[in-house]
Amino acid sequence: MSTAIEASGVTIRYGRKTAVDDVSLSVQPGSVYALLGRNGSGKSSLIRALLGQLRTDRGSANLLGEDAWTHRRRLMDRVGVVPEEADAPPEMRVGELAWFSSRLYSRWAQNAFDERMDRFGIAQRARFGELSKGQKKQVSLALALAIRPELIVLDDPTLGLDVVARKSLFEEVIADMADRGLTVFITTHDLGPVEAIADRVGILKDGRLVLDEDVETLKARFRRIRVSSQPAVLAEANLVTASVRRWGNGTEAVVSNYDDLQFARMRDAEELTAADVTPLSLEEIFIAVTGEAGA
Amino acid sequence: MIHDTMVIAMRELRERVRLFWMAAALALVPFAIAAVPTARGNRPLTIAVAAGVLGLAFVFGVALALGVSVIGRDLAENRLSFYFAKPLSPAALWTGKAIASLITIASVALIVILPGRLAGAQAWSGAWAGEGRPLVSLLTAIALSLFFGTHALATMVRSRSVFIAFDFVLAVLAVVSILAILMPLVVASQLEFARPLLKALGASVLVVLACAPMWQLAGGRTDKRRNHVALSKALWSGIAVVILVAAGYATWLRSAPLPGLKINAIEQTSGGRRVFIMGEAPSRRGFPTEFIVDPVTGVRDRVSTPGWRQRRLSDDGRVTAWTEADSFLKFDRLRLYVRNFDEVRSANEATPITLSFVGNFALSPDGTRVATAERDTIAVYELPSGRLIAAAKSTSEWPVRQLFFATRDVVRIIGADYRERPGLTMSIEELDVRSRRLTKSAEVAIGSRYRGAVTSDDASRMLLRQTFTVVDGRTGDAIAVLPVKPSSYYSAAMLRDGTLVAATEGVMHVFDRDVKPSREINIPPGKHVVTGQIGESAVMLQSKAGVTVVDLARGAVRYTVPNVKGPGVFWSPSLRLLRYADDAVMTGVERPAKLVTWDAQTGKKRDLPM
Repeated sequence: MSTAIEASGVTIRYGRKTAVDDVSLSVQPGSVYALLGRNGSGKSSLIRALLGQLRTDRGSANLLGEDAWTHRRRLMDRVGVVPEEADAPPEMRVGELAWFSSRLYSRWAQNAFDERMDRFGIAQRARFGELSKGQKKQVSLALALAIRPELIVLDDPTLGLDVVARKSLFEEVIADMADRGLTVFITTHDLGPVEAIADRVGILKDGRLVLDEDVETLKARFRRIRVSSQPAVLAEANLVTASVRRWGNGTEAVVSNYDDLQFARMRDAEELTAADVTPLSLEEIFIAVTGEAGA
Repeated sequence: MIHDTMVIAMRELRERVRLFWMAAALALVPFAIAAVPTARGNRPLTIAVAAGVLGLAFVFGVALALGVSVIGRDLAENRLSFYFAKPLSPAALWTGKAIASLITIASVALIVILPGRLAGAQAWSGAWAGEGRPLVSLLTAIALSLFFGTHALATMVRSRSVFIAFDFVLAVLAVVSILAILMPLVVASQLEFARPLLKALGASVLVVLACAPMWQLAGGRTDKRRNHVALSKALWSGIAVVILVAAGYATWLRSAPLPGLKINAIEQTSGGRRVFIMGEAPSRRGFPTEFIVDPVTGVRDRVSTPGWRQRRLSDDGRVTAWTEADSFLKFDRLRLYVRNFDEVRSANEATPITLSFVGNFALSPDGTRVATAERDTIAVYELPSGRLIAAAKSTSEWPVRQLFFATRDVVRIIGADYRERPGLTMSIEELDVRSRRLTKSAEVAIGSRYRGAVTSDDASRMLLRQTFTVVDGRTGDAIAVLPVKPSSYYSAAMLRDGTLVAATEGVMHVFDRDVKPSREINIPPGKHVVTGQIGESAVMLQSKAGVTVVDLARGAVRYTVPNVKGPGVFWSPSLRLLRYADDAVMTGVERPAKLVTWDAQTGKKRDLPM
């Protein structure tokens, strides 16, 4: 198995609307891939296709080396899923959910599930529908991890969670990853924590994958530059701007091909009175790339 | 898959524990009703009725609710991903959910009905007369249809897709196709073929409805619209296959060839130019099949509705008329069709005249008029235009058994009870087409049963078959009783000129119009029935040994065609004896099943050209 996830030219349409447009990406085993995008950018559709829940109109989606649509049943024994919206039947008790899963998965770890429930303080007799949003996510995560997955897919797992719950959720995933070299595919709007754990990041915009890169490389080439001259100097220095705005009498820009040497040459050549460079967070890069505020 | 199916089924059943408790509570209601003072009169009956009604209502309600929610609820609430994120096949998911639902339906039925059934004891049979397998099968079929049908409908409606318009069109097409397959069988009164075919069609559609959701989930998985599309594809493909197979079967049934037919009856026009050959096709499960055959050339047409309902032949043999449902949307009324064999390319011609299933009619001797009797209304129309010439209400208390044109302008109507009992009478009425008046002319004693009558060309006299009495055709006044006892009710007849013949063992007795003996002619031994006359003076007899033609003028048997069953029907809708032309080519079936013809004059036999 060379890749944990391999999407090649995936296109998904709903009637005339194209939700996912010719997306190709790959996720290496043991890595964390963060798929970012605004609401309606096609993240959930892509995830459903990767999980074999939605047939692609074009292209292929492979999980753990096998076609996700054709071999979904077999693959799901090795893949843990935390859905965006808790989808377990509301009338089922937490213990019943565990019982149900234990009958279907070949590597079910009841102890691990019980332990997490104890840690989260969730009673096994509680009905799923009566749990808080955060507790539902915790149960979903516990169910996904109790199958000892090789790959875990987290579809916006922190949506609607408070700060403590978010922190707790990421700690669970990170802890398990550290233990077992789990592959993680995550979509989230919570870019802070994901920046710390993601190896690679992809950004979907209007169904197209506009960025797919290692986080370190990404952060290395994106910089915010403030100069005391007009934006033309950036272009003359062959710096590609992702966003540009006025900064006093000068210019503030986010460049996507920052290079120390090139920046130094530009500063010297233009004899700039003020020129400074600051690194960007993942959230800032996301905003620059998508051109809109808020993930 | 079985393991996964059971896991799903157990999960679903756990979820429905409340339903079982509700059913248990409902089972007590009939006993509570029976405890009410006003209902105490017949306590077991009250319990039986209440348990049955509540049980059926609850079971059908549960079937409906489960059908709507079994997949539809998860689909609507976007919860199917819960199952599809697990190592479960779509087949296991559907089968598990369906099994749990069916177990639930059966269980609540037992819980609600069984206590009432046991406590109601004998009263149960009284209240539910249809008790037994047929009723249980019917109710099971209804419950299954409700469950699987509402699942399909709920999936379609929930998708809110334009595909529902296609579903509607395809549903209409399916119903129309099924009716088109069944109606020729129904119209031909072949209910013994239509009913099992309808049952098989229903069962097959139910199987398709039960299986299609597997493809629905396999193709649609978590998406509402794709579920709808996948379901529709599976459903309508399956139903199309079922309809095609049924259509193929119905076509196969109705396409039996003439050779090999087990002949039941042969009916021939008077000139002998056309023969109706009716039989059963052993190679088609005994399906009744009928052809119109030219006995000289063997050229034949298949009659689309075998045994054309109430076929009549005009006396001159040129015109035939029959009734047939002309639309499967309106088969409570049958349309009168005519076909004129005189025309070069004779074809079935629809008239504007319609009759109910119990209506009766008669053709005028020249086939240009038709008299109809429906309930108590007698009407006369022109053919083929269907123009009404006269109509009047019958005053007889008896239903119309036979009617015929005494003359071109006078229709005579025989009314008699269908029941068999001593002291029966029959009524004779006449409708005069010119004056448009209907008058009752007689009430005649006929013994214990009406077995028909036979009359002469001028209709002045009539031989009653039950009592062998010759009566005045109009007044019913008795003229004489045959002085011999014919071998059977159909062994005596009145020829067209009023001459009477009666076959007894080895002898044919001939009487003149006034029932005076005129001749005794030796005929082959055996029981003979009179099936027609050839020309003016020959009588055709049918016995087990074959067809015998007796020449009354010569007083001798003209010829015998051995081992052959000739044309003729014992219960002729006409009151006049069938008369064939002297030069007619007669048709019959030589045992066991070979069609032959012979010259009416000489009896010279040859094979019917095939």
